[in-house]
Amino acid sequence: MWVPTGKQIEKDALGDLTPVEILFEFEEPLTFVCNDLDGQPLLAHSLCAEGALSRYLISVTDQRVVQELKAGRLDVLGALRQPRCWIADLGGKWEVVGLWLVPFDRVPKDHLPRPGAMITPDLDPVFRLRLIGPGVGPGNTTAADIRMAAQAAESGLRGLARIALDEKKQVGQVRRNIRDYSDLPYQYTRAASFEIAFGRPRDRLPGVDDEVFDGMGRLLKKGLEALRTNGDDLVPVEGLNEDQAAQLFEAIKALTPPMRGGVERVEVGGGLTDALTGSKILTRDDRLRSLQRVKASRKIPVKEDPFRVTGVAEGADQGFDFFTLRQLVPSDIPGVGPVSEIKFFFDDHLFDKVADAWNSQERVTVVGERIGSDFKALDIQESTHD
Amino acid sequence: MSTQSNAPRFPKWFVPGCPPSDAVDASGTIFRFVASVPSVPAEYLSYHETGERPNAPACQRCGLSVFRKVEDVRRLLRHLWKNYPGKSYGPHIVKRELSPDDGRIKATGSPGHQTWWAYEGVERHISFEFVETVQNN
Repeated sequence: MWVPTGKQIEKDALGDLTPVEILFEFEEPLTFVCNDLDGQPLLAHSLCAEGALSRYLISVTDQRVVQELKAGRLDVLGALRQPRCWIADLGGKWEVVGLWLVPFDRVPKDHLPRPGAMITPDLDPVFRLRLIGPGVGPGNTTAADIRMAAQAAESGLRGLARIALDEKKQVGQVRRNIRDYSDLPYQYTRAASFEIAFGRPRDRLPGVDDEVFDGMGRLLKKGLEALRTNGDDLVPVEGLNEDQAAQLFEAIKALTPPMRGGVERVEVGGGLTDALTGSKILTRDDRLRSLQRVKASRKIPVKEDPFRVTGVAEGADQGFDFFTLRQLVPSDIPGVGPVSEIKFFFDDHLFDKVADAWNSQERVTVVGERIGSDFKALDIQESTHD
Repeated sequence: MSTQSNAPRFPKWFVPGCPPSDAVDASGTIFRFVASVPSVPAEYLSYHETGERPNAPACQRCGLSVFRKVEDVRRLLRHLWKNYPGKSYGPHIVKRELSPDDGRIKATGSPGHQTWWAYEGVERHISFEFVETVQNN
């Protein structure tokens, strides 16, 4: 094993390093809390092992840090990074065989946890997005950038979830809807290079959620591989029809940086991207390529003149990219004829208005258009009919 | 599998009371991660036999870590790589079918993790098939 860079001190300087609370174990306690001679808590984290000897990094800690770790609001690296720490070689029965006082920055980086790694696998962010560019960082990142990051994550995940759930529905009933996998709970942000992370759905269905997130990860991998394949031919996406392929490239486009402004690249991370083998950094070139693929995949149906209709958006369809308008006035829609309800699809920019209409159940006026056999909501306004 | 007598028994070096009484007859598919394929017998020795991990629970050190679901293995491997990059885990996943003649098994430690205690004479590395190599990226 490597020789610690620091001051070797008496083996019993910290006292007995027997775990008092194990935070993560696999075959042995790997990260745990122990106490120093004064009964004050220390955080021990396994760095490496050789034969019967295990080497741990020991940092001063407190209950607040331990609680933040356990809640998934602090990563392991953040909890370990303290001005004073120790390297301890432990033998059987937690006997301290060697002890060094070391500055944290002298601990070999390739033995430290990666930034963002949480204490247990279920606390690892399911999706993470980091903005990169000259306009990103403390004092530079704007509210619009932050909104863009959150919206990109929500829109991108929604597209992936829609296809993954469609695939699951082919083989049976799914008790989840798209929003469960796109409107994920905020986990943490980092300011240095603006990063936002999202955790698993609060109301967990462990088996189902894992399958859907795995499916979403596979779709993202497939989409990026197809997008980045060189050559003039647009490589089809295996296992997806044209409409699904278009949805996939729309989802990837949502994650890419805008063509202007200080955000030039977006790095994706988290459990959902574990299967990605290529670069996790999305560029403006990826945006152009995804736009090209969306255009190539979408057949352009004939649009008809917009119409206005008033009604109530029913809540039964929450979580999807459509709503059903009922109690229609007028019920005889120009160019459509008499109908009792209309299923409207809508784009991201209307999401808040649709959510308000669902939640309030008040009558709203929808400006819509017919495209082929589908109806699309162009705007949602307060109703002028009671 | 080969046994030295008709009545299967556990090795004499198992610690007293091991495996625990609530361990059940081994059966079904198990997954495990290893460093090399094809299987190397040394990778299927228990920590009790190799002398490693002296602070692991004594009875678990007599068995082998296995999983029932391949997804659990993938997820754990990626977690271990992120948090403990100085330690060596995987990267290959292998699987085999167990039968009651192979020993006993019980859920131990973290969710999804099980310990398989093999009867004396069971060649543990035999019959494991390669499943996949998990990418560390």
